[in-house]
Order: sequence, then structure tokens, then C-alpha cells
Amino acid sequence: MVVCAGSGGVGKTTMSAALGVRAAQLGRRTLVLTVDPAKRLASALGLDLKDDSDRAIPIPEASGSLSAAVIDSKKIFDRFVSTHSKQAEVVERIQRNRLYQQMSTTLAGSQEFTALERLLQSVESGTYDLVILDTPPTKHAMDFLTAPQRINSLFQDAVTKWFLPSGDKPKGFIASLVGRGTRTVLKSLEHLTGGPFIEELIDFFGAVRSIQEVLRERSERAHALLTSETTRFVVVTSFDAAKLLEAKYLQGQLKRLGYRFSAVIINRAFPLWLPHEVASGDAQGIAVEKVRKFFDTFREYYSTRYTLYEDFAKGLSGDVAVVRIPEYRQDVHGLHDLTDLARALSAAGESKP
Amino acid sequence: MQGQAAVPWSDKKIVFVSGKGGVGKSLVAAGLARELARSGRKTLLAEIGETSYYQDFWGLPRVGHVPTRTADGFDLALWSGETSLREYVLFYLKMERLYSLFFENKVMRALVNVAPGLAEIAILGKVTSGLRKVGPPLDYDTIVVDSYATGHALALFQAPKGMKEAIGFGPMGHHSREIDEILRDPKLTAYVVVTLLEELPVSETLEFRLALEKELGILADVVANKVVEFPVSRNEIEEIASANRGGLGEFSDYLRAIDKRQEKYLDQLTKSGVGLRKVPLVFSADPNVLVEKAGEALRKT
Repeated sequence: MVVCAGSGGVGKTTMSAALGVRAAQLGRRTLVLTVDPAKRLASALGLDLKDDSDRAIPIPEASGSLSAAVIDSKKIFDRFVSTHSKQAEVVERIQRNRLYQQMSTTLAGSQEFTALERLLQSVESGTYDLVILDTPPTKHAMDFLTAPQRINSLFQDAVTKWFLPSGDKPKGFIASLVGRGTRTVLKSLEHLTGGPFIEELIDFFGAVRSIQEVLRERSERAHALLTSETTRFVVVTSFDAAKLLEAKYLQGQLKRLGYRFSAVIINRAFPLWLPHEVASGDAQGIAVEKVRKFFDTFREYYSTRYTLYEDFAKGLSGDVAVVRIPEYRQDVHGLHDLTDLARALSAAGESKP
Repeated sequence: MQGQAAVPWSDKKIVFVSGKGGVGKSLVAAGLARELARSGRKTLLAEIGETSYYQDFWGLPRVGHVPTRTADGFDLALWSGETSLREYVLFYLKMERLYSLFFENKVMRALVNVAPGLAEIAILGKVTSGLRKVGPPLDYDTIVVDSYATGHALALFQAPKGMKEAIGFGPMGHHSREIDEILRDPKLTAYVVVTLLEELPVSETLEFRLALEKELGILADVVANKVVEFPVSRNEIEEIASANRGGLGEFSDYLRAIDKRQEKYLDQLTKSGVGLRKVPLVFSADPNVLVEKAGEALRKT
């Protein structure tokens, strides 16, 4: 398994797809999973992915295979609830709850949870040698890793018990668990938000209680998978100071938390013309001079950024590969571009000692 | 500021700036806040969520819930769901004892995180609190909100409507209704989507704009960021590219490709009826220069 982490807008989705193409070329049965409100992978692959099932993508001259799927948070949540609640009545109750209807899209961490759930299902299916996960866009890349714990803590026993409808509450025992302070808080909250809000919450937590055990179990299994021997993390970053700083922080955190971190991909690190000099040659004229000056401006801009890169690379430990991808003239669009990118990725990777 | 073009959106009370991740929306938001402040408007640049971008960007000691003045003349604050809700609760409960119960209570903290939409309502409640005269006074002519990236931003703007439909009555329903009214009032609120002139950001921008129009009935304006401005004409680039090999030819070829790409996406945006402003690519890593140039460009175009 490969997890592509990194903050939004750095080209994670495209890199995941290119890695997938490369893996298929190298003979692996590969699946690329993307969390993708704008259906970006679909467009990078030149595909129209309307449903969330695995779709095979023909890769010419590949000994392996490539499939791709979009992670549909809402569908996975609904399916999760239907699969894991034993009574149909509970499923209906959860899905009818108005807070739930909002939750699968707005709840912090829900996208991360469903991404992991989808990952787990794909790995457990045994259909693939390699599953590549493109992580949800977060403001901060670390959010992805802390999300399962957050979701888990929300549905911990203490919280759900607290919202048990009074009729279901065993007397005495629960009352002793729920302290006077908590009751005061509940009262104040009701005062501030109004009774209907609290009622919806009670209804919601009451229903969720029936699936909280499996929720916890799946989160734990996802965590075990992410820290297992067969999982690698790749951090994708773009070439500016803030993003590099974030990538550095992320790789430190990954190591500290026991994840296996193997590469940094710096996207759009430099334009392809950069190694060239604009030699004086025969060309002359005002326009030529202006273009030369413009070239110098560009070049200086990129060499400042190169210093940033060197500092960054120095700060990484030796077992981490740093791969720099040049800026391409056109947007990566079709499968053909992806294949080129896959080749560049692999060439850049091999040139590393 | 006489004789200069007016600062865009300066007649609005709230300007939400969004865009695909990595397009530079924080920079555009800061540039706008700077121009508004320079034109004499009392301006707040508000970040939302858990972490501050500007803290690292400007190397500030700390960006917190309470606004602080920046060197550019506007105030800066970071509002999260938890800090916004806490402030609200403190203001209305006015009881320290109860307050500490509220926030030292583990169950309560989990609830703030889990109750769908609660964090969003708290943040938007804070953004609109001055207009609604709710909570502590918030006296600004314009609040520029460095909002979430597109996908998450839509969920944010939908939250008050979702909440008011789910919870019709009581204070929660009341607040949600009020917030929603402000979000869909084009006299008070503007939406700005920042994009790059590249395929994925542009298609995401157009999708987001359609979704906003459908949800709120407001047409968002678009800012194209990092637009490369050429020192010579298109024809001249063309000529140099075809007449030269080596570095000069290759570089001109690169410029020609950029020019084609930019024209294509500018065209696509214009054809979709987008109100468009451009911010040029600035060859600097100095945050102050970048913000200044972004602001100037917004006023000019």
C-alpha cells in the first residue's frame, strides 16, 4: 500500500495516478483510490467516473493492471451503516436523522474515515497487489492521520451514553457516571441551542450506539494497516517555502508516530529549460534583449527556490528518497501525459543513490 | 487615494475568499485586506479553522482569536469552531464556574467536534456577529475571510441552511436563519474564487461558482493568480522562438506555451460570464512584496 500525503493543490492526485501507471507497467495489479470532490483523477485519466466502483483503465504494454475509483463519502457512510447495523429499523433511524444527513459531508474527519474504510475494503478484497490512496484535501496534511482517532473519540462510550434517551437509561449506574457537572452543561447547552437541537442529537447518538463497536474496530484495523510493514508513505509537496516547511513537519510526524515514510516528491520543482543558458548567439534586437532579461529574472527566481530545496533535502534522513518533478508545459491531462510523468518519476527515483 | 481606481468589494461587509488548494487564496485575501485598509476602511482579515497560515507566512509570534493589528494597517485573527463557540457561551452565560465546566468537560469538547454543522455555525456566527449585533462588539467596515478550499467551503456555506432546515425552532434555528440571510445578501456579502490559469483549478472554479449560485443565488467573482506578464508582444515571442535554437529558443518556446495556456483559460472563464481580475506572477519570495503586489493588481484590473 502506498499513501500519498500532502496538503491541497500540490498535485497529489496526479502523482497518485502516475504512480499507479508505473506500478501497472512493472507488473502489479494496482488500484488508485482518490477522494475527489472535483473528480480530478477522472480528468487526469481522461475518464468519466460517475460511480464509485473500481474501473479498469487499459495501460498499453503493461504486464500488470490499473484500476481507479472515486471515494464517495456519503455512499460509503450509508453502506457502512447498512452493513453493520443488525436491525433495519436502526439503519432507517440513522438515515432519517437530520443531523446524520449533514454529517457525512460536513463532519470533520468523516472524509478521512470513509477514505480509510474504502482502503481497508480494497485491501481486504485481495484483488490487488498494490493500493494507492490519494488522501483527502486538508488544510494541514497531518489532519488525515489524526482523523480516525478523532472520529473514534467522538463515538466513545461516554459520549453516546450521555445522550441515551432517558427511557433507555439504567437508573443509578449511569446516573453515577454522568456527574452533576455534565447535567448542568447539558442544561446550558439546551438553553443556548434550543430543545430541538438536543433532541436530534439524542436521537442521533442513540442510533449510532449500535454501530459504535464496529466503528472502533474498523478504525483500529485501519490504523494497524497504516503502520504495517507493507505500507509506505509518500509526501507530495510543491516548491515553495511554506509547503516545504509543511512537508518537513509532516515527515517528522510520520516517523515519530511509527509510519514508514519512504519518499518526498517535489512537484513542479523547476521548468525543463532551466539547465540551459541563454547564450548570446547571433540573435539581436530590443525584443531579444527583453526576453534575455526576462530569462534572468526567471532563472534567479528558480535558483532562490533551489536553495530552499537544498536546505530541505539536507534535513531529511538518508533512507528517504527525494524526487523532483519538472514543470511541464501543458497540464497533465490524458493517459499519455500520465505515462510520461510515470517515466519521469521512475527515472528521477533511480538516479537517487 | 483620490484618482486611483476603487478597491474592489469595498462596499461589502464580508468578503469570502476561496479557491482550490495551492492557488494562493491567502495571498489574495491579504492583498485585498491591505488595499481596503489603505483606502481608509477598518478592515479585519479573518482566518478560519484550527491553524494559521499567516503566522508562518509573516513570522508572527501568534495569531489568535482576538484580532491584533498588523503592519499593513488591518487587523488579523484566527477563528476556530471551538474558540468561537467558547466566546459565545462565555458572553451569554457570564458565569465563570459554568464556563469552565463547559470546556473542561471532555464530553462537551467531543460534542463540539461531532455535532454536525456546529463548528461551521459557530465560525459563521462569529463572522456575522457584528451585523447581527450578537455577542461582543465586532466593529469593522469589512471582514475579509480567508476561507476554506472549495470543497470544504461549500459545506461551510451550506451549514446554516442545513441547520435551519433541521432545527427550525429555538435559538439555534434563529441564529442559523439570520446567518443564512446574510450569506445570501449580495449587498452585504461577496464571494471571491482564486484560481490559476490551468485546467484543474479553472474547472474546479467554474464548478464551485455554479454550486454557489445554486446554493446562495450569488455569482462569485474570480481572481486569476500568478498570471505571467510578458515583456514583449506575442508576435515577438513567436519570432524569437522560431528563429532561435538553444537556450533562447527553448525559453521563448516555454513562454509561448505559457501564453497559449493562459489565453485558453482566460477565454474559458470570460465565456462563462465570470467577473475576472488578474494578479501577476511576482518574482519574489518576500511575503510583504507579494501581498503588496497582489493588492495593487486587484485595484488596477
